[in-house]
Amino acid sequence: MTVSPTSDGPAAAPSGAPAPDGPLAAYRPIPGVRDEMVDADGRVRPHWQPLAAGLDALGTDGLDRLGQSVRRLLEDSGVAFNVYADPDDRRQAWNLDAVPVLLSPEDWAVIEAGVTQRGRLIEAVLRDLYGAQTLVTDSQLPAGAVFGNPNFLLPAIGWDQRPDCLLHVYACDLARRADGTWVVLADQTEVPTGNGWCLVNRVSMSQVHGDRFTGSGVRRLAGYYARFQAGMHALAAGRGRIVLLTPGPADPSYFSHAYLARYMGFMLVEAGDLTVRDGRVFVKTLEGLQRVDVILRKLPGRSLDPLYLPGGQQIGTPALVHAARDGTVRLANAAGTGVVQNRMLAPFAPALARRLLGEDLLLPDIETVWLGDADGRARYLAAPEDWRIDRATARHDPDGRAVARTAIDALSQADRGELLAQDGDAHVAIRPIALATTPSVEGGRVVPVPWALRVFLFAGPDGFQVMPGGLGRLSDRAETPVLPGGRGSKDVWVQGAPGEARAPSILSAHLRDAHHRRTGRELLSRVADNLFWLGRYGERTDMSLRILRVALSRVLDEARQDLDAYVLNGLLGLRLDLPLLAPDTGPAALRLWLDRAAARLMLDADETLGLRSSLDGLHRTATLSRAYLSQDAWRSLTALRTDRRWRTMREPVLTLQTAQTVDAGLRCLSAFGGAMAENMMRSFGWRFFELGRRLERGIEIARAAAALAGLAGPSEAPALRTLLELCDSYVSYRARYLITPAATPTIDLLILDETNPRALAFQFARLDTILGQIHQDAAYRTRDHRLVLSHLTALRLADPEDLAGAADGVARPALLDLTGRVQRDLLEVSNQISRSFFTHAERPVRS
Amino acid sequence: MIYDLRHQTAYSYATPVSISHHRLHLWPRVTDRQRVIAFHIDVQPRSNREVREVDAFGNETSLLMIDESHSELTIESRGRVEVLPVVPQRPDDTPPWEAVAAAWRHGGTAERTLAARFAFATALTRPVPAIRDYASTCFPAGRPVLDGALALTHRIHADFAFDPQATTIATPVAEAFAQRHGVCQDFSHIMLAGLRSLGLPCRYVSGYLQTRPPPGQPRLAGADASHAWVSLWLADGGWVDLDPTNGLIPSEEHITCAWGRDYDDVSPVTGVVTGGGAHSVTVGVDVTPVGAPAETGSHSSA
Repeated sequence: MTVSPTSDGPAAAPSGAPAPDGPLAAYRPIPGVRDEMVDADGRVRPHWQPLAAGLDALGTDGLDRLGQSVRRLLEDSGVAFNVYADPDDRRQAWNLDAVPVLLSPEDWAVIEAGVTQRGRLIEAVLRDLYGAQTLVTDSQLPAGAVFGNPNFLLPAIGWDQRPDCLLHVYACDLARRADGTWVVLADQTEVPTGNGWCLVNRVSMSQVHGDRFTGSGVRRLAGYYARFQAGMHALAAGRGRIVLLTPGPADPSYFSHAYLARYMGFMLVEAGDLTVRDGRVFVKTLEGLQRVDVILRKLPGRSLDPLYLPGGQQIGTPALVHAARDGTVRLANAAGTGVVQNRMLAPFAPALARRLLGEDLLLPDIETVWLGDADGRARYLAAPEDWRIDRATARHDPDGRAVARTAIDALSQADRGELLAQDGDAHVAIRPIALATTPSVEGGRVVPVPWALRVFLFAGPDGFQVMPGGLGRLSDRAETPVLPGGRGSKDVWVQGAPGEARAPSILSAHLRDAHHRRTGRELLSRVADNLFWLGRYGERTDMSLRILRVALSRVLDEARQDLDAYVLNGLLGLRLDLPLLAPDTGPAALRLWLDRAAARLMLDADETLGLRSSLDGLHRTATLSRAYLSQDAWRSLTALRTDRRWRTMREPVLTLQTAQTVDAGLRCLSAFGGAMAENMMRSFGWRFFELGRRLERGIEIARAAAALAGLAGPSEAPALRTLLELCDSYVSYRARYLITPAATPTIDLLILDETNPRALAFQFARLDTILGQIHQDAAYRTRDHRLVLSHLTALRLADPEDLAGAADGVARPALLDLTGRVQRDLLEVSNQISRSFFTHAERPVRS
Repeated sequence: MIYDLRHQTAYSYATPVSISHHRLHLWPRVTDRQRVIAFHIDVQPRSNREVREVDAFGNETSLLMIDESHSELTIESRGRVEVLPVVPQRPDDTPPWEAVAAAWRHGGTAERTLAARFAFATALTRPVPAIRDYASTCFPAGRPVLDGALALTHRIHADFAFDPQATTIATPVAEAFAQRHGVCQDFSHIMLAGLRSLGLPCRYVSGYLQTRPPPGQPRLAGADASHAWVSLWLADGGWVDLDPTNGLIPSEEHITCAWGRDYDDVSPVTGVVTGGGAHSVTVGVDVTPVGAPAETGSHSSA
């Protein structure tokens, strides 16, 4: 590499000479392949010079640290995780290269003009297809490309009043060919996806690059999103609520949807959160039904509405199409825009541009042949090895999955011809192109890697606006037929023309609207449900870890090897259904039994109350309520989730290493609880989380007390001590009583003491307060609140001596009766809360 | 012929339904040889709201919403319709089937573009090689399209057994074809899949048959529920109805409600409910020539 002497960048490469051992010193372009950073002779292009010099100045170690910082930021953002994904599945991880792609103002001008024209062309085509269909009648588009296309939605035609815009958001997949020219790889018109990832990439890169980012004159994304947001609000005519409709957490792009919704201040909803009443769309919140005016949809058209579009993969929202047709709700994009998704337009685009726009197409398409007619099939079958088959309207998400080879690729030539003759309408053949390269970090070195990008547009009142940047994708191969996946992403920096004004941050707009969201009563019923269960799973996991900690201490601690069959039966019986140990079981057999039981508790995914189930539940509910958790709370749970030791554990499990893992887990949960308590707004969301937490803890205490303090007798002292340890109250007990555990003071401390956060009475006191707040509008106390209040009163009036009193010298009937009723009634409270608040979360079914 | 018709759909739910939406394709269509004299739809519970819309195929539809908790729902339509006899076409006068298959591809007129909508396979009429081969034996090169289609109509009528127990609405067309049993929806879907695999545009027609036959004539199959048949495009010569269930060209005994590409486009009653649990449905259809005594037919499904 040579840095030209005209460089005016940072002084790292003073007179154009590369740092001899700098990371870019050995960078060479691939002969005959256009490279973004250097020209054919290896000279750094002028617009790259400040950045290249800055990267060189970092040195190899610095570049390595840069990569680590990027990875850490991505992990914190949650981008790396899919809600149902296995945390070990690296394919799910989102990778971002530490070196951005820098595009010059001249390159950007070509792209901007090209994709804007394409957006206008697509809008014009859609208006015709869902209107007069003259393009079909006049043979500009073959009938098979429209009517044989599963994304052509008949219920979207013949509307009396059509919205003035169908294609509100659009993304275009582009590549620079090895010869330097730009081509269109695909049109994303159905549910353009990837803005969220783009934003995360940009946030991470601007943070780690600092001066290199500001010094490169990069155009900001905030202005685009501020205009996008304003455009959506204009659609809602100023009054309305805008929601982002996602297929849900199982969708590979869920993260991107959630991130975009949070950034734009739109409510993230699933189809089941919406309901149509009398032709109007509402979202189900705790406050009741709230009107929705604009739906930014990420749900494919075919799944929008089970009544008007039967046969969708998801159930959708009944009568949504009716509301859209009536104009009471605006769908962005309109139903049916998927008809020209991917490659359907490409073979016909030049002629369509001339006819509909009176213009020549500015950006050519990657060579694409529609296989719905005999000529196209003949072209393909003459040299099938030159082409790749794709579904004409396939959706390619930029989440790292490349296009799968279709079944057609595997067929013999004759079968292929036969199949295409029958089902050719839905397929295209694409001739892969050789890609230009851009510098990327691989194995500690900077090397040229083939790349392509997705750019994003929205249609505002003044026409299409293009996001100045894009989602870059690196390719495993020199050639590609579609936007590549699998090798990581790139932030694309577009250099501004000199003197360009800086865009205001979108946050100021959020602040302006903040008073609307003050009450928090707009909380989605489904989210309240998730937060409630997040609280419950957190406590359940906490108790499982404490059970393990006590078991471990009995085995590992030389001074504490007082294994007792009664205690172990009670302790592990809290979680597992086990054959009871006989009282006279020997120490070796006890240890073996304990190790097996602990292994089941930790490792067996089929145990309902096992650690695996609790951790999965915790992770799922946390991901689903991600928008309501603070960064610190999320980070604590992520640390617990990603601790590989849980998944690599082997028997025997009661080892020092397990003890460390359990301790680390408890620290994570404690940090999570602290972060929630300190950082979460005391809104409706918090109350449901706290409700779940106190309810679960109350059940756990009652269950543990029944199992370990229910009997008097020879094992009483070790059992009570175990119970105190389990409830994290042994130290408090010793501080107060200075004696070995006895029944009456233990029961007082763990059941009746309202000042002990681990006592049963404390949980009821909190439940009373929260239920009072949640039901503040109720004219009388609800049944759940009355149940809680009656227990709280009973606990306040109870005498610890009575509860500790034993009948027949063995069982404690009063304590067992109390703990039994507490468990039963708390479950009833949970059911009541579900019925009162979460029934909106109930999903519709076909009838 | 003038008919009185009554079509009742009664749902019974195990647990109360909190909200329900239904889309109804119950309105008889006005056509060249069909006139609707009177028609209305009654719904219980009474708190329902009904909105009328015309769908993409020109069918009159109703959208029904009920947001009062209910455990029973009854939808009953009643009407009086006049049907004129079909004007017979000479099959030999229709164009060769290849010309029909080519006509819509060349476009040129809005009518051809409309026909092209019906030329492609749908989820319910997915062609399999066996169905294509079965259909193509009726269409040797150059055969007039109606001649071939009538042969296919008779062939399906001869080869398939009418058996309401054999299939459900969810039975794939390939399965119904393989077992040679089914009801009018299955036969219509099989015929549509076969015709479309040859490139011939054809519609799924939903409607009714006279419940009790005229004296001296056999009772037609499918008369005790809503019926379905096929309509074939004859290129620029319009459409002709064909009933594969009964092996004939419909005339005065078929009352047309709606047409689309397949059952999903024009299902008489489609519903989505919240709550409800398990449910059962009873359907009853009555079609009586005006002046004749009524007879009720019904069948149940769960």
